[in-house]
Amino acid sequence: MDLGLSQEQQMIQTSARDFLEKECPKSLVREMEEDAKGYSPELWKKMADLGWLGLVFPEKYGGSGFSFLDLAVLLEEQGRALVPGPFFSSVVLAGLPILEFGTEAQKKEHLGKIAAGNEIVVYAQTEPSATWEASGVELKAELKGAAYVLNGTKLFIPSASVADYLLVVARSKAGTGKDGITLLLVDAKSKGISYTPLKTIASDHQSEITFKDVSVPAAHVLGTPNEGWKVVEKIALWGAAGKCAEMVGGAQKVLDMTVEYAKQRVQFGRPIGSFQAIQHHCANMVTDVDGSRYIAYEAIWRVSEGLEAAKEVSMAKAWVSDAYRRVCALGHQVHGGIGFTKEHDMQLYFRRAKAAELAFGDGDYHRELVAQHLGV
Amino acid sequence: MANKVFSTEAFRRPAVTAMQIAGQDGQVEDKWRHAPLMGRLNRIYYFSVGMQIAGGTSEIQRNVIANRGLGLPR
Repeated sequence: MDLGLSQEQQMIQTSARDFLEKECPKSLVREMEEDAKGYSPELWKKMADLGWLGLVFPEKYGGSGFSFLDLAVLLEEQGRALVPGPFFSSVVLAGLPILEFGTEAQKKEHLGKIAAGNEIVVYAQTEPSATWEASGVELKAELKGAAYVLNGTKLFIPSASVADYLLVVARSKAGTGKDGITLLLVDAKSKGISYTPLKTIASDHQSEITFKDVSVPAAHVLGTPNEGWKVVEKIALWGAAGKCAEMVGGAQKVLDMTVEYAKQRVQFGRPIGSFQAIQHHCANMVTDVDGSRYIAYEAIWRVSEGLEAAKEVSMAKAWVSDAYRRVCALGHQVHGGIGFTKEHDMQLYFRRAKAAELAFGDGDYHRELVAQHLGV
Repeated sequence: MANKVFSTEAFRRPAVTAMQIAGQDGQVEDKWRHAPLMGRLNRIYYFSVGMQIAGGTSEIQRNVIANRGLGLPR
């Protein structure tokens, strides 16, 4: 059984790693944490020129027709390099749903611009209740004539302040269930939308977005009105599986840094890597990293092939979220004091591990879903 | 030594669990809107990592417990 990457995927991996080591050094990552926009327009432009932003779109929409699995290889490298900005929101969480559920007009309008780096679309699902369940969608969309009127709040939305369009999950019929959900592509500068920035653990520029009588043309509905929950479910698969790829990349880098340090750092007259306590930590880390990679890529492959994937994605998200946190904790122990300084890169990964764990549901949430799949 | 290992690790576990319970709210930093316990939770989470390291890591403490405390050979 060959579980390796194809030649093409290896090329994506190598070229992405080389490019990001040069163009996305940790100094840029740190600078963008404090930056008002939170991403570098120059780097964004270069990523567009490399074809990254349109990687998974068909050629007729300005893309290169690669698969979700190919995209995951790129996401893994982005997770390794901690690429700041709206790539995940715009390409994975908005581009893919527009491609699968959009009208021809919507695809023509948005995909080419996303691919060229001229438009950023940001997905907005969660609200102050902070749940990923259908009951969490309370933002109201009332159909009045040829337009929907939006009222409500979205919370914890990364990169929202730099969005050109928001892909908003709204409730268009009274109730709390999966019925009556509608997704809308909303001009981010519409009258009645206001943004409040939040300072969060990963410095990923999340916002609270308030909608007050925001008017959106009915033609901007993505998918079928009132039946949007199945779009949300699909986005959750792409989102959770994609986050797993990012986390695998981050965890691998933490392992690499830690093993390197254990070989170099000398204490009591020998490298600390020669101590069994340290060796066991490293062994536990590599087991977690490799295990994460296989469980993640099995789920990603199923999503990519259009197979039933909900259970596998939940298994992967639950496992990888916890594993990344464990890998960071052991990495910290091996690094000792130096790893816990602001100047060291360890803290950048430790903080992002928490945010990635929360995105699209943490371990407990997904274990519950796995149990449901088992009929427990 | 045993005390240090026990107490820092006993501090770490509830810090991780508390962050888990807080869910998405837990990621919000100090003094910002929606931050649980006025942002203290987030700070405790950072702090809990450092506690197992500062003043001798848990690994070093365990070495001392084994060698000096239990008299195991080095």
